[in-house]
Order: sequence, then structure tokens, then C-alpha cells
Amino acid sequence: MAFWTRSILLFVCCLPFLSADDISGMTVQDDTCMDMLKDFANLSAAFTFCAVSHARPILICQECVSSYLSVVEVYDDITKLESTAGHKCESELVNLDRLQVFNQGYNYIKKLWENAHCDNCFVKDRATGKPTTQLTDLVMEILNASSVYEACVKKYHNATAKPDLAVCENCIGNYKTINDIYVKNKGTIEFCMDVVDLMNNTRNEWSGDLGCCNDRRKPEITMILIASGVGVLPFIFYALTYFLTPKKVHAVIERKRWNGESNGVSKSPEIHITPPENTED
Amino acid sequence: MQNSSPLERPPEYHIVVRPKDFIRSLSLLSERSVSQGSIHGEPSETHLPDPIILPPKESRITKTVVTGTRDVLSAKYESLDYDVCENKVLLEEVRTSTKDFRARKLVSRWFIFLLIGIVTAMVAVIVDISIDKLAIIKYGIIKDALDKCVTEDCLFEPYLIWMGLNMGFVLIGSFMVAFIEPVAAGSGIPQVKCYLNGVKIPRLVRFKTLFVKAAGVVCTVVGGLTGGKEGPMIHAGSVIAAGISQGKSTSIRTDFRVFQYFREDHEKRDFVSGGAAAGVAAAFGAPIGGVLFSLEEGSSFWNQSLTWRIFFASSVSVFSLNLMLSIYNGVPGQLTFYGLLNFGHFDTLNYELFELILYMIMGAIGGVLGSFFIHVNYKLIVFRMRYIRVRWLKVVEACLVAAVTATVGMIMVYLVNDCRPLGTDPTEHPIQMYCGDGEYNAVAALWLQNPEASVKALFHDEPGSQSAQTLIVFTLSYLALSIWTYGISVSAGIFIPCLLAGAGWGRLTGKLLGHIFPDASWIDPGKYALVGAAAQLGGVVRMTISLTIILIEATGNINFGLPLMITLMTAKWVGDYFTEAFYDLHIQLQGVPLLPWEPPAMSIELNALQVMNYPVLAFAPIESLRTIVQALSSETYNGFPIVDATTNHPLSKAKDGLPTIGKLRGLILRSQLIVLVQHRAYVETGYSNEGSHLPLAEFRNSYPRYCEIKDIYIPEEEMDYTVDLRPYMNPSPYTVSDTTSLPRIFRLFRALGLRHLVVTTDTNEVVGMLTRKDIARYRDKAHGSIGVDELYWSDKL
Repeated sequence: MAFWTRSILLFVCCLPFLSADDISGMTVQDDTCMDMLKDFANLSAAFTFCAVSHARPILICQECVSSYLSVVEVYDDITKLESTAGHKCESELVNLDRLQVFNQGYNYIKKLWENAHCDNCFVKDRATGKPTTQLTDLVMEILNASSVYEACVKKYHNATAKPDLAVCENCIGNYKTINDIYVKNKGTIEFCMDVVDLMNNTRNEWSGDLGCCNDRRKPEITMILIASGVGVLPFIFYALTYFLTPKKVHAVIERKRWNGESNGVSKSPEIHITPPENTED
Repeated sequence: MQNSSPLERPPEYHIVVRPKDFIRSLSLLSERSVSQGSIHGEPSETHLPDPIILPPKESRITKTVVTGTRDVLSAKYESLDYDVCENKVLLEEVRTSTKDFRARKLVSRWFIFLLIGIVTAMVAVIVDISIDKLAIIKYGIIKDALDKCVTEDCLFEPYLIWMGLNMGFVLIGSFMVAFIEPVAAGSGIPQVKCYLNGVKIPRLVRFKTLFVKAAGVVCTVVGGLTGGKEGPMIHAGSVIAAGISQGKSTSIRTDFRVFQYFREDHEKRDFVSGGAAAGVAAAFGAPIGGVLFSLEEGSSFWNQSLTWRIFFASSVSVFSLNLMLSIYNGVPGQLTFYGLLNFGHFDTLNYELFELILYMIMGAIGGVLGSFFIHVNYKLIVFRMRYIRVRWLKVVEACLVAAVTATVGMIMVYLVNDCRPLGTDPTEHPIQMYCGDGEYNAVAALWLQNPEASVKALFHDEPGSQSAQTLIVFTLSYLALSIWTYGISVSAGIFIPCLLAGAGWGRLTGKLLGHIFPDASWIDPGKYALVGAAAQLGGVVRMTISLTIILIEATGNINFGLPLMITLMTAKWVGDYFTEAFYDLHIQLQGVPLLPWEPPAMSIELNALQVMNYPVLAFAPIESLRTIVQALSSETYNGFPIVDATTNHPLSKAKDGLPTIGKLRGLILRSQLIVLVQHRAYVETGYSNEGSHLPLAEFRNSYPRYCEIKDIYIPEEEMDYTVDLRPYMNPSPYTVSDTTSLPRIFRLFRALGLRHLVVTTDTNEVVGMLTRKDIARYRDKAHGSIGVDELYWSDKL
């Protein structure tokens, strides 16, 4: 389901780009508004192109930030500007048909950006609160550390060896640097998808492809000894209570009942009632 | 009045059986039974006397029974006085009551149900938040230690910390339960069920019990035991209802002097049924489930108007809980926190028609596993009743369970290396253990969080979140631990362990099906986890409609009602084939004289004459104090018929060989006599039928705990005074004729919530008395054989 929604959205937002020539053939009512719509179509197409082409490895935030910002800008213009006094462009483009191409296209871009938490990677503009194209110091630090680490791996890497001991030995310092920065900050802020993906790849490479992370298991003799001791304790406990606790019995109270033969009207068929034979169970 | 004073009659004609004669009559009876040979008669079908089953005279020799058996009823339990005693003083009060008073009573009744809902939710929130806060600290400490030690060969350190934390909390919890209030052990649902069905359980609804229960359940859950807080919430709701409606607490020695007019068993029991419903509602976010729980478990007698009031209490409870939790979570007014346990939101819960067969199979598995659970747990409980009776031993046992639980968790985390990518971190404390960087250990994720969160994880995690190996090991060990845990001296419920174990094998089933049919779109491991959880729970507790509705409400999906119902139904049927239901088994082990839904099938051949108590200890309408005091001191009876003079000698064969003791005038309760003696309401001090009466308020003030007769000092010179019982007795008690069959008596008791039933002849002369204990002792024979078992009675159990 989610897959289809996304495909449709992609299709819808690429539509103006694919058929850009046809737009000129439309009956133009208001040039300013239609020009802006055309701008929006081109810019959103550019963003979509950028996003999809940077899907693997994920670099959407870093690479597409400028085109995202321009999409937002033109969208804001369309929704806020008035072509003539009292006449908003928005009213010509939005809420006119059930397809809502303009809104859908914008929502798709917005959602993609937000899902990737891209805003978190960029320094925010003090005045407007909007992201700028400037990466934050923390992200820069991680990216720098990553490139140092990449360089190191490239230098020592031997494709046939696994674990690649040379890399493991020489690059562990670099790996630890980048890992520590990430782990330290992970609890406090939500990293953008670029950084998360970078880390995932780095870690996969380190633990998986390079096999540098497989010596974590230790014998742990002490723990196993304690655990087996604790495991035996209940049996000792139950055995002790079984042998040391005296059996307790309770006296049965006899209910006072009428035992006499009852003739006549009160006579009822005799039935067989047995007391429970086994109370020991 | 008639010639009713015993003092005026010639001494050789005793109208009333005095204690002295009563003992004489007993000895006469035993002689008679010697000559008869058997008390039970002979088998009618075979006509073969069985010398082993029908011991001729040993029945007079005191028999003994071992502790921990289902065949003995405990004599310490008494019935509630649900039947309102319509005596003269009550009529006087009703006549003088104003319209305002009646309106006030009506309004306060609704007001009390409102309060019950709010306070129950408050207690639930307090318990929930305490567990939440403490658990975060506990798991945080363990996680830090684990992360530090995993690469340094010192895993025993986090292990010892884990074990120590578990044992510490459990020590506190079990100490409170064992030494302060043993009735707070377990989930409390069996006891609440008994109370709602008219059996008084001592100390069940006291404030002290509530405190121990609430604090105990926090210790249990934080201590990592396999127990939930849901069952205890139902008990807590009941205590709150009893406390609020009475406007006083003996535990904290406070009488708020409000709601005095609700101080009687009838009103109290009705409020408690609302409290239990509010507890269910708070626990599962299930207001309708709560009402149905009270109806199903406690409705041997029920008033329709009660249903609506109880629903009100449940809804208030859910709403208040929701509101308070939303404030705690920092989003006041966003009412999305239904209940302490909710199963979270399922995006899709669609099912294909043929899946219903799969659900039935899973229900059957749940029934078998549930029976296994019950049977092993039953054996353990019997062992505990016999050998672990000393209090400190109970505490030691609880600590051992806590230690082993931590050990099992730790060993599993150590051995099972099920690594999952961190991704969006489904767990709060991801533990890396031996996984690569950026991965977490799926086993540790299941163990190092509250069981509610684990249930939710099994319902909602992505299909590949746990390996099959993890699920198998986790389910088996959790099942084994929960079987072992229930019955130790801590307060913990059975719902969560069952749901979690069931969700484990349910999810495994889903995975297996996904393996067999890789392309099928109807397979969702979360859905199968839900069905498995329902099957396991249904197989253990065997509740029907209320459990179905609770699960539907907790799932929040009405469309999945039918599959859940089918699962639960199969689970119950299959389970019932193997064992008794879990709660019923516990009730039987405690020897509570609870009347089941139906009378024993073969009991139609028994009649009142064979079942009743005989001879009867009765009083004259105006009775001497000495007789009353002697009777109260020597016998444990709680109801005494009041009879008029007849010319028959008490032990003469008045009618068809049946000795009667006089014409029935009324019935008086022990508690009433105690209050009368306490307040010196003698004829000589001016209290008589025609004169002044002791007002009803005095009886209410002593409720619910009356003193013993031996604690009341009576000067010797007052012993010859007389008491006029007529204004206080119930002048029209329920009676049955001596030929009434047991099923009829049974239904009367159940439907009316009776405590005493007088057996009379066709001339309305008293021949015997029936109590709940006389009826509850007949039970259908176990498996396979037809007939009625007769249970023993014992005083200390």
C-alpha cells in the first residue's frame, strides 16, 4: 500500500516536469500565478530528481538542500502573494479539483524531507527559523571523522583477508572516534538520515565486511559458576522443606445431620454418596 | 402474645432446644446411627454393599485430612447477609424516613460509584508510574553494567546486580505479603469472585490489604517476576469500593461518619461489584469488559439497575486513568492512554475465512497448554500448602524465584546471540552484548523491559524482529517461570504471564506459517501473536464473554471479535476437558464453599431432609440471657430460628419420625444477638416488643466486625434477665419444605444470595437448618463417573 502511494505521488509530482511543454498550451488567466506554478513545477522536478539519484547511499540532505529550499520559497510565494489586490494565487491553484496536484506535489517533498529529519543537520536561520545550507558543527565533525576513517581503510585494506587484521589494528582509533561521537550525541538529538545511514554503513563494514568486531565474547567462568549455583538452590530448598516440615493434618468436623429413617411423604430414594476416597492426591 | 415465655412452662416440656438438650439429642442421634449401620444408605443401582466406601461406624471417629486438598471445605468462611433482614426496627426506620432521605441515598449511591471510578484509576496510575520510574532506573543500571562488562570478562557483575535488584524488590514485596497481609497474595481474583458470590473472605476488603497489594505489585513487577499488575488492580478496585461506600476504615481507625446507611452486606457487596468492574476497566481500558466481568464472575445474584451504575463506575475509571496518564506523559487532555495494558494500535486486523480453522487449532493448543499450566501449578501449590507454611520460608522461596528469574534472563542473553539492527530503536534499553556495532540483542530487549512492553513488542514489532530460536527459548522459559511463580507469597496477576507466553508461541506460529506460505498476504506475525495470547489466557482462566470483550476492547478492533471468540471458546472447551479452571481450582484448594453455576447433576435425588443440619438450636421469642450466652459460646452457628411453643417434646417423633422443635416464628442472626447483649437490651431494662427498641443505627455501627461473645462482660446477676427477640428477628425468613430437592435449594441460595434456609414441615414446624456449607459440599464426581461427591469440612485450613 505504502509503496503504491509513494509511486503515485512520485508520478504526480514528475508529471509537470515530463510534460512541461504542454503547460504553454493552457489558457492563461493570470500570468504571474501561472508563471509561479511553472517555477514550482520545475523546481519540484529538480528536487525529486536530486533525491532519487542520491537515494543510495543516502545523501539527500547534503545534496538536495538548496533545491529543497527553493521549492519551499516558491511555495510560500504562491500561498502568500497576491497577484492583484485581494486575489491570491492560491485560490486559483488550490481546492479546485479533487486531484489537488499542486498540494500533493508539495506534500510529497515536505514529507520526504521531514521523514529524513534533514532539518536537524543544518544550522537554522536565527530570524526565520528555517534551515540554511550550512551544516552544523556536529555533522561536520562526523563527516570529517568519517573521511579520515575511510582514508585509513583504503590505505590498509586487503580484500582477501577477513578479518582484515591490518585495518582492524590501524583504523580502530579512527573508527572509535566516529562511533563515540555518534553514540554520545544519539540520545540528545535526532540525527538526519545522511548521518544515520553513514554510521550504519560504517558499522556494517567494520563488523561485517572487515570482521573487526568478533572478539567480544569472553569465557565468563565466574558468571556461569554463580548461575549454576543459583539454579541448584531451589531444588535444595524444596528438598529440605519436604524432609524437614512435619506433615500437618486437620480434624474433620462432623456435621450434625438427621440420620433417622423418614417414612411417608418425606421418603426419598436412597442414593449412593461416597466420601472422597483419596485426600492425599 | 401467646404463652411464649419459657419461664412459665412446666419444666418437663421443653419447647426450645437448650444447649443441654441439644447435646443430649446429639448422643441419641449417634446411637441411632449405630443401629442403622450407614449414614448414606446403600447403592441403589447395584444393591451391593461396599464395605470400603461405606464405613459402618468410623464416621463418628474423628477423621483427619492432609493440608492441600480439593476435597475439604474450610469452616472458617461465612456467607454474606445479602438478604436484608426485614425486622420491626427496619420497618420503623423506613416508615420514619423522609423523601429527602431517600433522594439523598439515591444521589450518594451514584456519587459513590463516581468516587470508586476515580480513586481506582488513581491507585492504578500510582502503581503504574511507580513501576515505570523504578523500572527505568533498574534497567538503566543493568544496561550500563552490561555495556561496561561485556568485553572485559566480568559479566558476573551485571548479573549479580540484576539478581540483587530483583531479590531486593521481591524481598520487600513478599515480606509485606507474608507478614502483614497474606490475603493480598496472588491476583485476588478468586477471592473477589467468592466475595461477589456471597462468601465472606476475612480481611479481603480492608485498607491494609489494598496498601500491601499495591505496594506488593510494584515490587513484583519491578523485581522482574513473571507477574502482572492487572489482576491485583481488580482486587484493589474492590477494596476501594468497599472502603468508600462504608465511609470508615478499621485499618486506619477512622470513621468519617458518612454513608452510614450503606453499612450492610447487601449494599457493600453491590458496591464491591462496581469496584471490581472499575478495576478491570482501569487495567485493560475495557469499561464494558469490566461490567461483564462483574456479571459473569459475581452474578449468582444481580440487580439490573446495578449494571448501569457499574458501567458508570467503569467508564469514569477509564476516563480518569486516561486523563491522569496523559498529564503524566506531558500531553494533558490527549486521551490515548486506555488502561494500564492495552495492546496498542493494530493497523490491519483482517482475516480470511479459512484462517478461522487455524484460530481454532491455536485455541486447542492454548487449551492444552493452559491445562498443563494449571496442572503443574496445582501440584506446586499443594506442595507449598503442605511444606512451606512458615512465613519466612515463603519469603525465602519468593527470593529464590526472583534469583532464578534473573539467572534465566542473563543466561539467555549470554547464550542466544540474536542480533537486530538498531534502526528506530524499538526498545528503551538496547543491549549490544556480542552483536556488531549498530545492532542490539533481541533477547535482552525482551527481558530488560516491563512485561507489558514485551507483549506489545510481540504484537507490533516488524515481522523479522526476533529469530525463531529466540521465540522458542523465550516462550518456554517464560511459561515455566510463570507456572513456578504463581502461588508464591507475592501479589501478582496471571494475565500478563499468560499473554506473554501465548504471544510468544503465537508469533512463532505466524513465523512458521510465513515460512510455509511465503507469498501469503494474510500472514502477520503480530496477528498470530494476539491469537496465541488469547488462546493461552483463555486456556488458563477459562472466562467466556468477559474475557472476549476485554480482549476486544484492549485490541480496539471490533472486527476481530469473532476470531477472538472462536479462539477463546475452543481454548475453554479443550481446557475444560483436561482440568478445572484456574481460579476455581484455587478456590477449591482454599476450601471456599462457593456455589458453582449449576447444582451437581445427580443431586436431584437428595432432599432437604438428608442435607440439613439437625438438630436445630432455636430460641423462644422471649429468651433468657443465660440461654443465649450459652448457645453463642458453645456453638458456631450464625442463624437461630425462633420458634413458638408446641406441645410436642423436642425429641418425640412428631411427624413421620421427624422430631420438630416448634412452630417457626422468625430467624435471628448471631451478630444481632451480640449487639443486643452488648447494649444490654433486656426486657428488664425496658426493651421489649411493645416497649422501646434498640435502633437499627446501633446494629450498623458495629458492622462489619462484631465482637465475640466471650469478649463481652456480663455480670452474673444479669444472666437471668430476658431478651425480647421479636423486634429484631426476621419474621418471615425463607423456608423450604423437608422434601425439597437439593437442586431447588441450590438455586434458591444462588439466586437470592441466602445465608440461612429453614427446613419446615407442612405444619410450619422447624426440623432443620440449611446453610451454604451444607449445599456446597456436594460436588459432581470427577471425570468419567456419575454420582455426587460429598466433601469434608475442616475448621483450620
